[in-house]
Amino acid sequence: VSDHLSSPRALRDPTIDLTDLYFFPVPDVPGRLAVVVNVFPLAQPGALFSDAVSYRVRLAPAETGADRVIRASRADEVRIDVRFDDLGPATGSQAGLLRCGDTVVRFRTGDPGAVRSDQVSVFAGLRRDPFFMDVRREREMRATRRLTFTDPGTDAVAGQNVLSIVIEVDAAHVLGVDRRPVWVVAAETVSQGAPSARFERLGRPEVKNVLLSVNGNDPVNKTVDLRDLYNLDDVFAVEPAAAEAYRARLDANLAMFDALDGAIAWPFRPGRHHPLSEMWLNDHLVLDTTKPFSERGYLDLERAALTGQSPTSCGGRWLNEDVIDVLNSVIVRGWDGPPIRDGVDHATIPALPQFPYLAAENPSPPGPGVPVGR
Amino acid sequence: MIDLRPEFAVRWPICTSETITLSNLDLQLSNLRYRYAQPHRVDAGIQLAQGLLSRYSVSARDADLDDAEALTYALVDQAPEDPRAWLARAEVSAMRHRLAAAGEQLLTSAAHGGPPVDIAEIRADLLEAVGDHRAALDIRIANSGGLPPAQQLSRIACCQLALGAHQEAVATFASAIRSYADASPLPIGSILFNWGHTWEHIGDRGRAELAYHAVIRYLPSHANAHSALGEGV
Repeated sequence: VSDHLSSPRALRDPTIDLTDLYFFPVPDVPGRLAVVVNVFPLAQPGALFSDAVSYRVRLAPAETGADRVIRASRADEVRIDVRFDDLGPATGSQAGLLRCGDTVVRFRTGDPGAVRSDQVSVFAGLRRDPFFMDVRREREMRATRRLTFTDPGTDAVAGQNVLSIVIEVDAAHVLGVDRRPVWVVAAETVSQGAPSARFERLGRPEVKNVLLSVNGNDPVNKTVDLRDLYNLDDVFAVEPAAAEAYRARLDANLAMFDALDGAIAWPFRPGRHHPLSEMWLNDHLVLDTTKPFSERGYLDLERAALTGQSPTSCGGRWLNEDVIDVLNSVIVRGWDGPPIRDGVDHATIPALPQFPYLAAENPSPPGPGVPVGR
Repeated sequence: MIDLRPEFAVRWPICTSETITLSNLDLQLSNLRYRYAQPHRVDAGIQLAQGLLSRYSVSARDADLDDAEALTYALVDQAPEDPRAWLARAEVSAMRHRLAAAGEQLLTSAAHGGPPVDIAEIRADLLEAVGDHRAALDIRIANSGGLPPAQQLSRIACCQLALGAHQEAVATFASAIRSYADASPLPIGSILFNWGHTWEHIGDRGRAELAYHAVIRYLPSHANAHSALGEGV
């Protein structure tokens, strides 16, 4: 499910488990950008952020390389770190601190504790999980090597909550006035203290759980779960040896997905890499910070860079975009092929176009209250 | 900074508070109970058993161990061919000190294709329980790809300590702490408690108490650490 439950380590501790990342221009407010970082899959009312973790957003200006892949360097990055205190016994909420360069914002979790300002706004707390997807059919698709989606499908995330961190910034203040237009973003959970350990990293949805999944067709690491290793890497400086392992897994899985409809959209020769492997390896969202909001933009700048065509949107990722249909369509049918739908087109309660964007939490999410069978 | 001894200079990991950890664990257990109640969710049942044992490691409440035990009985009934169910069953039996039963359950898990690394870890626990620290150490060293490095190294350190290799054990234990890469305080609580228990077993009450106090720094309500220090919680 997107990036939910996306490594053995994350399964043990939901407070470090990034579930989704979103990056978009604020609708109808030129010059403002929003980043949403969600953690804690299946969060119930009462779920708490860790007070030992830095929830980190890494933004960096991007360049398109000679191979037409969009990349960024950590030398130019802008970091936003969000930390939380222990639960306040008298308040029932957690104090939070956002730090971005010299900008420091203090807030508390929950709606009353959100802070709005011209430079940086922040909300943190329990919200509806905006992600949607038919997970069972996706797994079935990989297991049977056939397109098995139905219409309608079943949303595995319906009614669930996550802990969300919503940050809205004035782009000129945080990223600079004379900045390059295209920026990338990735999220991380890292330990506090020095040296810090990276627990998870996240750019695009389903890179770990689908594109790097173990399907028995990777000739280098046939049965190895690469996700914990992947999480250790710096998104802007992946270790070369590890990158080779990811390329081999991506090549094998992308070839498998391409063959699902019996036609080859992405031909590549033995000994060469899949045409999309390098794009997925640079695992971040890509946004043109000078363009207005668009409801559909996921992979648009990457497509434009790889094909030489003009982008049709700002790129990035909006909360309500059906990124799973985009993903499946691209990897199976190519950029311009007939789309593939998983039959789940929106969240039960979609996100809103105003801060803090995500729908209020479901007070009774599917989950608790059923006794253990004996 | 948590100091076990003057010469034990490591940077102690910063972990999530006990309040947050146990509150979130309770919520996770509620979720897992629900998911286990869905048909064919043996995987959720196994995770639930693990979660109950995690909570038991802090609370020492019989109810959690009883729940975990009942659950693993149900799992092997529900999925008698599932090696993970037998493995969970063996883990609970080991915690109950039913060593012969645990050994048989490990064999059943192995017969159904259970993961050799996990089976070997519990087998090493059983060997330690009967005092065969040399054989346990051999297994733990051979089994280095299984558990996360910190847990693996700390178990090796306890075997070394029990075998009288004190300097080696302290060095291995320091490596375990340095390689700790979790935000949760639950694994480090277990690591420190077992370290203290091993010192106590070989007759060094002073070092044992230092370790138990370190447990309480991470997990203030750790019942067994308080009990070992002769304190009520």
